[in-house]
Amino acid sequence: MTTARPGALRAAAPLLAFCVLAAGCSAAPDGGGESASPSKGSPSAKAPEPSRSTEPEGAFAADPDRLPRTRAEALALARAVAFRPEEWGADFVALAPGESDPGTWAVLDDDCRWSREPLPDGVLAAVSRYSELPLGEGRGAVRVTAAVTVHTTEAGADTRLSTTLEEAMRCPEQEIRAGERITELNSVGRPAGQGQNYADDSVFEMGTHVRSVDGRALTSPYHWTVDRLGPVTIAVSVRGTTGEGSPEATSVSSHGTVTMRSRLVDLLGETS
Amino acid sequence: MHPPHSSDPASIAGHRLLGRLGAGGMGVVHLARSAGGALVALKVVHAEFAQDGGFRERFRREVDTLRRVRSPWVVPFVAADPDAPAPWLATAFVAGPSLEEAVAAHGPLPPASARALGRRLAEALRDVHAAGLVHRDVKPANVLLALDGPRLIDFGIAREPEDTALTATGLVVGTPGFLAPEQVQGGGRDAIGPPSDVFALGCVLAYAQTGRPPFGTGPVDALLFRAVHESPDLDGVPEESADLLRRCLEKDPAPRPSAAEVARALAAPRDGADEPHWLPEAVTRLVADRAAAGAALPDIEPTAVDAGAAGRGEDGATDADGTGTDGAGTDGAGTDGAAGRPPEAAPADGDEEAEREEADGPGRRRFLLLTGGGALAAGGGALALWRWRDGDGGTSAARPAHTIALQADLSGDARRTGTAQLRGVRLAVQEFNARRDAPFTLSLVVRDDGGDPQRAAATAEELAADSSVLAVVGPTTEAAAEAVLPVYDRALLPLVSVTAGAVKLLVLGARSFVQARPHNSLLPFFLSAHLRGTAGSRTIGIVNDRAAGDYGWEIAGTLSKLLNQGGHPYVPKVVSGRYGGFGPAIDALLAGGADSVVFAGLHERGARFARTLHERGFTGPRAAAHGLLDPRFVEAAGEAAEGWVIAAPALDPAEHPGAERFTAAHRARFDAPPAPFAAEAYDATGLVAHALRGLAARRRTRGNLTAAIRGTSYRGITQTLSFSEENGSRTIDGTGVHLWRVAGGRLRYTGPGTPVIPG
Repeated sequence: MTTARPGALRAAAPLLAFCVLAAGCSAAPDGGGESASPSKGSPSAKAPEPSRSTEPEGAFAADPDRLPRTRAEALALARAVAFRPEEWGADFVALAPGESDPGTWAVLDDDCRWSREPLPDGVLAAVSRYSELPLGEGRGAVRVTAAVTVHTTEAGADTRLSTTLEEAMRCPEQEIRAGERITELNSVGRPAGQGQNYADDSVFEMGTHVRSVDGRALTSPYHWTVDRLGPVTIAVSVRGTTGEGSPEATSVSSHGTVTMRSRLVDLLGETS
Repeated sequence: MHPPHSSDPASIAGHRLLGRLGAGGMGVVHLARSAGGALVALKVVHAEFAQDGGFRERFRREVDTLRRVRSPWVVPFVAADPDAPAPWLATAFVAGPSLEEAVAAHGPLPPASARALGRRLAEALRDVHAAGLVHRDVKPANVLLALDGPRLIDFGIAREPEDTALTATGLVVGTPGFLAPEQVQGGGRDAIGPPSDVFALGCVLAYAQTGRPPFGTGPVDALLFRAVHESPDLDGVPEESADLLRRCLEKDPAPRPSAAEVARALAAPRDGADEPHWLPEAVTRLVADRAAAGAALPDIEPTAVDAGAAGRGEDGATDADGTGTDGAGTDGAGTDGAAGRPPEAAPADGDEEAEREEADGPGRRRFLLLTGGGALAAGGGALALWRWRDGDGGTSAARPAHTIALQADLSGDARRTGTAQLRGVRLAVQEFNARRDAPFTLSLVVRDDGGDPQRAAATAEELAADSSVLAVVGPTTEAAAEAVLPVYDRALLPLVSVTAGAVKLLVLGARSFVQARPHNSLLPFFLSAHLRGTAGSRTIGIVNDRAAGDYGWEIAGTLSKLLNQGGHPYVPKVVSGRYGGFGPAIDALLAGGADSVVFAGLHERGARFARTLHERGFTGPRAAAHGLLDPRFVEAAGEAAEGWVIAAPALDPAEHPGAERFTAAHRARFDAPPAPFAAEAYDATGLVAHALRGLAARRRTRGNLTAAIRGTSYRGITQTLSFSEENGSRTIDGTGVHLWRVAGGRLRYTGPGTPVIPG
């Protein structure tokens, strides 16, 4: 088609809903008047200043002496931070394989398909650990991936976050492996000081996970967050949370990101 | 309070519903009158929760317990029916403001008040815990203030995760910022006990004394992290109570004092008697006002606005009512009374622009420094508050005056736009007051927020506290809008913005916001239609400049989505706000085959981008949204700016048929042509005046005006404005976005944009 229908203007509507869900749009009155809204002089009043170019400040100061220098050190760090199955909760188990090949990282190709490629020069180590929570007979499982990537420089990790945002613009639909797709992907970036101050930078993505099982398409919410602290990125993806007895995707995700960030701060932060 | 929804029944179990006090995932809280005539807060649980047998059982058990609690500081239980199809619980209605509102309006409590508050809340929790209940959501919004002391409300009756505002995370029961670590860490219902309430009490008392929650505010994630890992921020808490609060805020529940111990520690040191005036005078006044308003509730109107009346215009009953001097006349009393006063005090820093304009203006105008009321005192010395009124021969002292305000950036980065808005609003007020048939006159209060979010929030608090202000036009910047929205929502004070266009602003649930321009996510439709249509582009390169925050994301993200859905080729590129220049991004766009470029960012970096693009020899179509509608872009980019096309929610009235009179008046009064957003602000003011005219004199309240503005349709000189009654967004009608082109070193208006490719 070469002509947009006037009705297409309303296509912007889904973004509204996304914005509600993204934490970057928090600090809201809830209409009931009983939510915790930011008050006069509160720290949250430091909202982003979109009318001005800002150089965001960092939230995390790594101790230069504690940063990994070799691939081996970086891999040890990534493994120390990335969640193991039991850390997600008592009933989580490892998928097979439970961990990615340490010489590779995930890349989204021109056809919007994810695959693992050899580590590029700017990346010292990348570890993805795959876990799942079986929900019982015929009800599928909650699948969780924890990915920690150590870059040689902070600028390299920063570029990775830009690339992540770009990927959602480029491929709102992505194939994560044969028979598994993410559709309706939305993303939002939140540098330090703009809606969060627990990481130097953060990207949050949400979409629908579609899996074919016996010719049927099973859908569930898909959540993905990546936080950057210095030269390290910590990512968590959650999918398959649907139906009774299943935990909330955001709840699972927060548990992972909060704890992994805290580990990284313990391992790399300034000790003083 | 909101009016009842059309879906609300007229009565529930013999209670006549008067309005809604609040609503959440779990149910709705109504203001109701019991069969016996008492006002009650009636909480009705959604029927779907009631289908869960376990839920109903917990509800029954907890209602039975609450029935036994006897505490002067706990809102009294009235009645409940756990077995109704939709279980409900009625407690006495307390008309007072919440602690949250009081602190927001008047700042932290003085030590003596905070101590009295702490003692009584601790006593309330002591009694609650003794009965075997845990509140689970102690926070400033759940503490109401009455003349004799606080009242704890909203008990954890069968509180479920759905019952909190922020449980989009599904993570916590309660309110992040006031949650104990054990609540955050998800130990389930069992991990939450009386010590969790003591932790929350510590947070509330810190908030009461500093105006800030001790673990800050912001995204849930950050709050939870801080509550679990960081020590509380107690800066500003007097030393004598800081130690006690620190113990309440222990991460481990075990060492925390019990509520009874807290009450004892805060026992009145001297006479032990509860002072009659336990709150500072300003807060006491707020409490008394609210109590008086509560007493007047029998007259509450069943519906907030008669949309027909709002749109009717100038004739009929509204005129007769509007010319009356009683009631509404008091709104303007302060202005009239001070009419002869010369503008003796000089405005403070940041208001020079405003002052200069006023000094240059025609001598017949009178400027009135607002001295009455608490607004000026509350504002501190940094911000001068001006009440301004055009006193032309047509205004009559017999007519009531209503006050509207402009909150704009008159001194910050967006001051050019803010000043344009100020001029547009002034012309609208002047013109309105000159009309002999106007049933009232308008007074104008002008406030400069510098575009700074914190200053903007403080400004909004002051305008909200000035009860004569019926509506606010503004603010200028997106950041300021985000900061002021909760404030104006709380006050139900209509806020009409012609520049703040983020979609985010529409989904925050703000009840009184009106966005009088197409929102940012609509601009990409016009950009796409221009580039693929007129400019003949095939592959659009899109640059999202992260330095522009949500604005850049909204433009670039929506544009890529739109093109993706239409199957049109595009090349997206995201540029860091932190590292590097634009060179690599431009190389990538060109390598990807882009034959046109959209820059989603703001003027300063936009100029750098344009220069780099120019250096690469790119001559294809280049476009942007209103972030580049700024002479500074043209100036800084020089030759590289030539040919750029900008889609903006603003037109040039000098080139727009129908705006001739406005343009002439602007030139006559300000000796300059109108800048972008002057005419739009003029229309926003006309919209407010139009809606106000449609209301009978006795109904000209903030709440009614909000409904009237959202419900009306107004034909201005730039556009016809109508809105969603639900969220105040402008009706999507394919108009309101205009194209500009840089030519000959100037921004030139080329006409209305179109969201579709013609033909």
